[in-house]
Parts: sequence; structure tokens; C-alpha cells
Amino acid sequence: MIDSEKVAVESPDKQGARLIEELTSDILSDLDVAHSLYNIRIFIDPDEPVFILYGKLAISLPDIKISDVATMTHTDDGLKLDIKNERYVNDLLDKLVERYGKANILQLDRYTVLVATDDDIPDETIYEPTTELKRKVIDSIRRVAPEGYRIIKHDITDDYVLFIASEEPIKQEWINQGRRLLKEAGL
Amino acid sequence: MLEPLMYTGGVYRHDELMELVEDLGGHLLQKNVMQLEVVLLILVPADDISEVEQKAAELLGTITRAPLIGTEIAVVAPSLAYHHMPHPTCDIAEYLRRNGAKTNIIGLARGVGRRAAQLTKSERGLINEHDLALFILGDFLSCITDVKYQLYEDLDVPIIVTGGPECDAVPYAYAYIGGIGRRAKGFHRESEFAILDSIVGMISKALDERREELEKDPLSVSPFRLMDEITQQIPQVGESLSPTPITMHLDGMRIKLPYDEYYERIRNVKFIEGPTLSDVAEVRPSFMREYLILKIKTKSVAGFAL
Repeated sequence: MIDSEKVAVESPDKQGARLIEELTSDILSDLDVAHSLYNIRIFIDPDEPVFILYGKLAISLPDIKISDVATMTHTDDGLKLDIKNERYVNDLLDKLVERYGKANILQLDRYTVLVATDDDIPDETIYEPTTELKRKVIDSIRRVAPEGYRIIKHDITDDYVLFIASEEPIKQEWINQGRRLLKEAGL
Repeated sequence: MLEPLMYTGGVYRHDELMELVEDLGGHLLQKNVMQLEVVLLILVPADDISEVEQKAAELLGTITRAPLIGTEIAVVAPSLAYHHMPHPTCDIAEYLRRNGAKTNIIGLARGVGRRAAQLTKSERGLINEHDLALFILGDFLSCITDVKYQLYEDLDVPIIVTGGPECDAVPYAYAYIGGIGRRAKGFHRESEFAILDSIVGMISKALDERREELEKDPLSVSPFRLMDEITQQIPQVGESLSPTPITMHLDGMRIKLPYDEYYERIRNVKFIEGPTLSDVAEVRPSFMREYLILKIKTKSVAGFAL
């Protein structure tokens, strides 16, 4: 079950733990990742000093390819793309510019783009929701971690995120502790 | 005894209220016009408040007591990153402004963490120019009590510290107010406003103690009289684009004119009794831009009082 509300904070300072718990929930819901990061566990000890966060990542949407956004037809003027989903037009145009150059692309109107080529465009990925989600998750975790903790080691996969931050060089025991947290969660 | 008040009303006929304040022997410290609304920060003799209230009612405006009028407060955050801004630093500064204070938010260069937390010389000088400094600290008690006092232990102004955990007192600070700490949301609940009110209350108390201290050896001239003299004799003050060209302190003021250009003219401001400004006050460059800081000498130092 996805329980985004639940943030478990462990710390020698009980008051601080409660405040960090509240702060984490606020930041996650503010930055729109409350439903993407769940089962969050935090260990923070300002005397060490160390901040360890572990959370499970929800499965995000599949990658968006050119064929999901537009249909291609060959015309006398070149390759014509009829846009089906306007939301990803910018990403599509970026991809086309990167491949064919700005001079070879002409956007006739909101839903039509002409490309000066006679070949088919390979059906490439133009937008990766997973990358975007990871970026947002790391951004929100950096807001939760104390600002002075600038030495960071993190591990982010499609399933989980492990984030260790400190003012001192990261010690092996903290990494081990993070790994233990992951193991406890069955990963 | 002058009472600090804030008038909020329409632009139409607000000059009548300004004239009334002048006639009663009060002072206008700040005037903010926002489209059709005007906010005046005024000081009025305590006996004449009812007259001002009557005039405000006639103009359909409101008068509220703003205890922090005439003071400049430094709101110091460990940095200006999103860990401290806009909540709680800006929220607290805004609340102090609504109570009449002039606030400056100061983000420290090396205020974060434990190992590197320290003040630079210019930060120390800048904070010491204020009447009081409010430090916004974080969530862990051991940081606040064992480490972060290094930021303010050498400062000369009264220090009030806010943080997350509840605690009675912290070293080197005049007072500590808990229940704030790091926040990712604004102040909305009644209980949260009670905390903000307690900050205002504590600042007023600290400033009242400072005023009492000043009364033991009074200033050689009232800061408000000095402000009026400077405004009259140096009209360029009024041309400054800053909302408060002269920012009042308890024992002086910050004048927002370039030091090099105006130093001599400010020193030579004359009083009708004879002495010039340099006899009653010390003029020095401010750590803030090129401004001037004016510290009024006490009666014992100047040898007389106007």
C-alpha cells in the first residue's frame, strides 16, 4: 500500500525528529512528490553529524516516444508531423532541432510541423517521466536535509532512493547503515 | 511620551491627518502610498491619541498601535537558501513590519552547519548597526545551545533567537522563542500567530529595557528632532527613492545618502540653540551600501542636552 503520509524519523533528539517529520511531509506535498516517494525513513543525528534518508519510489509513467505525440506522413514539402498531444510539443521540437537543425524545421501551426527530409524519423524517446521524477525527488530531499550537510552520497534507482548527507566526509558505517535500512525494507 | 501608531486609510485627505500630527507635536516616520491606500507610521503625544483617532474615524481610516515604530531590526538567517526562505524568515520579518519595525533580512555567508558557522567582520558590523537582531535557527536543540551561539556571542545588540524545539533559554541571547524552526509552510493557525505575537512582545520588552537604559543617561537631542532638522536643512534626503530615507534607531539613525558626498553637510546641520550636529552626534559610514550612520551622544558625553 502506498502510504505517502508516513514518514518515520529516528534521531537521538526526539523533538527534532518530530519537527523533521512534519517538515518532510510539507516539502513532499509542496513539491508534488508525496505520491511518488513513500515508506520514507530518516535517520538524523546532528552530533555525528549525519542525515540518512531512504524511500521507495512509485512506478512512474512509461517513456514518451515520437509516435505517441505525432503521426508522420510524407508529402511533397517534406515529412509532415500531425501533433496528437500538444503537451510534449516542446520536447518534440527540441529533439527535431537536435537531429535536423533549426533551418530544416517549420512549424506551420499549433498542430503541424514540417521537416525537410525524405526519410522516416526514428521513433525515439522524447520525454522520460522517470528522469523528471528522480530530479524532483532529489530536489525535495535536498530541501529536507540540513543545509550545512553538503557532502552527499546518493543512490537512486527505479525502485528506491538512498540519500546520505553530512558535513564531514561520508563514513563507511553510515553507508552500511543506509544499506541496512534498504535490506530491512526488502531491497 | 510619544505613542507609536500606524494609520491605514485612503489617499484622499490623508494630508489632514499628517498636519494634525505635526500640530500636536508628533512625528511622521514613514509614508507608504500603495495605489489608493496609504499607510502612515506616526508618533503622537500620548495625551492626544483620541484626537488622532477621531480624525482617522472621520477619514474612514484605522489607527492601530505599532509598538516597534522607530526601530530597525535585523532578521538574520543562516543563509538565503530555500531552507530558510520564504518561511519562516520572510514571514517573521513581514509580521515585524506590520508592527511598525523597519526590518532588514540578513543571510549569512557562512551561517550554516556546525563546523563552518561564523560571522564575517562586515556582517558583525552590519548587525551591530541595528537596534536588535533576531536569529532564525533550526530544529535541533544541541545545535542551538551548543554551537550556533558562536554566531551572536560577540554582538553588542540584544539578541533574540527563534528555533524549533522548546527550551527556556540559550546562551548569550536575551530570549529564546521555540515552536518555529525550519518550516515549509506559512503561519496560518491561531497558535502560530500567537508565536509571532510573542516574538513582537519579546522584542518590545528588550527595546523597552534599552530605552530605560538610555533614560539613565539621556541622549543630548531627541532622535526625532534631529530627523526633522536634517530633513529641513538637507532637502536631498527627500529625493532618495528609498521608502525610509531616514531610518530611525533608538539612539540615532541611518541616513540613506552617500557618505563621502554628504558627510560634511550632515556634520554642519545647525540647531537654533547654537550647536551643530557634530557636537551632539557621531557620524560614520554604514556597512550598508554607502549610507551614513548617526549615533547621538549621551548628555554626559556631549556635556549638554537640547
